[in-house]
Amino acid sequence: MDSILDIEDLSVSFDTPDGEVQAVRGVSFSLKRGEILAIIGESGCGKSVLCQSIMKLLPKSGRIKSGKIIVDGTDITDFKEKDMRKIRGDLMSMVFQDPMTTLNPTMPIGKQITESLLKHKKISKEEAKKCAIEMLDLIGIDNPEQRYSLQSYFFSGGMRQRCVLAIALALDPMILFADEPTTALDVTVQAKIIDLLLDLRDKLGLSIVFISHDLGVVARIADRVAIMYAGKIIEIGNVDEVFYDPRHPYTWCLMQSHPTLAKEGEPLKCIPGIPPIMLNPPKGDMFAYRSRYAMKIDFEKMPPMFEVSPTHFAATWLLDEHAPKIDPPVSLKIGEAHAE
Amino acid sequence: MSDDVLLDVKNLKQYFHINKDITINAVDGICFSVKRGEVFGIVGETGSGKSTVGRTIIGVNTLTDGEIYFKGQKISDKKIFNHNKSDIQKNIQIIFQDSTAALNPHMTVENIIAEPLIVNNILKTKEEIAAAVDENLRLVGLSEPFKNRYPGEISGGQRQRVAIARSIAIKPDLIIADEPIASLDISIQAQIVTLLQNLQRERGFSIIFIAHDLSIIKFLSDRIAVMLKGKIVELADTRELFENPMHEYTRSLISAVPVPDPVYERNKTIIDYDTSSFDGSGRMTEVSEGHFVLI
Repeated sequence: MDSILDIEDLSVSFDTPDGEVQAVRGVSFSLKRGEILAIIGESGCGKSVLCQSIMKLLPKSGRIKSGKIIVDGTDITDFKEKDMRKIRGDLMSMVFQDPMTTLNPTMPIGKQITESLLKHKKISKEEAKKCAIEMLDLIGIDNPEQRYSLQSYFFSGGMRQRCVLAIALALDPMILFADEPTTALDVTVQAKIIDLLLDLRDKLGLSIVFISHDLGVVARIADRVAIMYAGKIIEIGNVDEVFYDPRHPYTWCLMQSHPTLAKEGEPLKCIPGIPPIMLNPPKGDMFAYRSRYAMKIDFEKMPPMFEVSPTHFAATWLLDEHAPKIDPPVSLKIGEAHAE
Repeated sequence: MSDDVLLDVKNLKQYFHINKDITINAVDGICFSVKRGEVFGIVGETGSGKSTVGRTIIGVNTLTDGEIYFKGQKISDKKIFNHNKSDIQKNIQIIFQDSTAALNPHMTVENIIAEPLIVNNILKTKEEIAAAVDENLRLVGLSEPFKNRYPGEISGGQRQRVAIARSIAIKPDLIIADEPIASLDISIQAQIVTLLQNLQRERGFSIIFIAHDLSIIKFLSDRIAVMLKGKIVELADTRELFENPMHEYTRSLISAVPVPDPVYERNKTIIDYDTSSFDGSGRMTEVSEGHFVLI
């Protein structure tokens, strides 16, 4: 079996005083061993909720409505908190956006790493310390022996994010969820963290679900890309397929609004309107309300996933055989969009 | 000084004395000028002093040393500043990164946009002010019903639009935009950048655009200054800077900008520049016309 994580038709809702907010609506995907899958979307599209629901870290008002979560062959959909504690960190781990708030400011870095080791494994404190120092060394912290006993405020933003990674990876998990891990960092630091993740994947055989809204970052790190909009995956495929041959109008819009892809002297093309509110979502294709290419059927019926290639799928009626042929407004050629 | 120079900053220093032992040299002797109708980008990493430059120009901080000339007047001089206070404050406006903190939560959008018009005595009658508020709301792409909303009731992108409406309401000559899009979503970023660009072309004001994102700066700016540890390490026309970067730090910044092109990204090497080795020594040298590098 080569897939380590299978999500089948997962729906997550939040109960609010105004009614039910459907944050994730029927999402299915699978993650292969050693693969990096990037999930791209605007804020509020449900990408973070998706990861939180797999980790079972949803706030109390959120619940998994339907669907299945299968991790390494085990169905964990109905796992209670007690069972989840055993597999969190061990089987799957999560890194959050802001390294400043993730770390405990009063606790030395080393202790935060050994905490989970001592809880999950039957090892002595000395062994745990040795493990933690090895871990710090692996993620590229110089002088790990000295830094082991320092608090997080001695560290720069990039080093803190490295420490957060060390904590997440201490138990050698198989899956890592990285929720915008580089958004709060400078570009040069961001590039180093991304290269570190790529390096760790090769060294540890880690599978990574990488959440981001930056197409540039995703282009560097991902093997496969899923584009999310209004709680659904609307396009998924290998990174080259999605970037060089995008099929969904929303993917086109995302690419057009990226400043490095803008032609000199031309204005940025932006997506009109705002994402829909997921309280009583409208019928049909949710993006139709903002799309230039919307057809009548888009407002009536939700499009299924059309197959573009065996690995590339998109949910838009434009791929239906009856739809008019439209030349995509973006045509990215290999090596065309670089900084020089 | 030629007439088309709007703002001239000479050897600006801004030190913060934390206590008797610690002084932070946030801005350490920088020189640049901004022409009329120009978009001047300042880029740099966290802690490079780029925001402090903006705050010192507008007078939030009292500068430690150096001179700032605005429309030929030395506004860094307290006396001259106080004498021309209303004119200066009318003509330099600032847009902050965090629109939640920048807008008073107890005021409606209408009052927020009307406030600078009233404070600066630009419009007198209620009708004129109401008309101006409508006009500015329309310019930033917000509709009438927003007038009665409070900042807490609208989205981040809409709040940033209100902040822009407030700053353009009194028709300033210079807008300092301090990371105005950093906290916004990618598609909303594009909307706000386009809005600023269109307004700038229509009205012809100058912008000092401060950001850490080189790709947005490149898109918007005519000239770019790269800052590191309180110094400008390179200053050039946008095209010149990207085609012919001279300073190693600029090169490393440009190489680190993520580009949405998977094949290019996978094969690209990122130039590593150890910022701890940078001591700020050297002189700004003009290597070609208008292209200055700290060597």
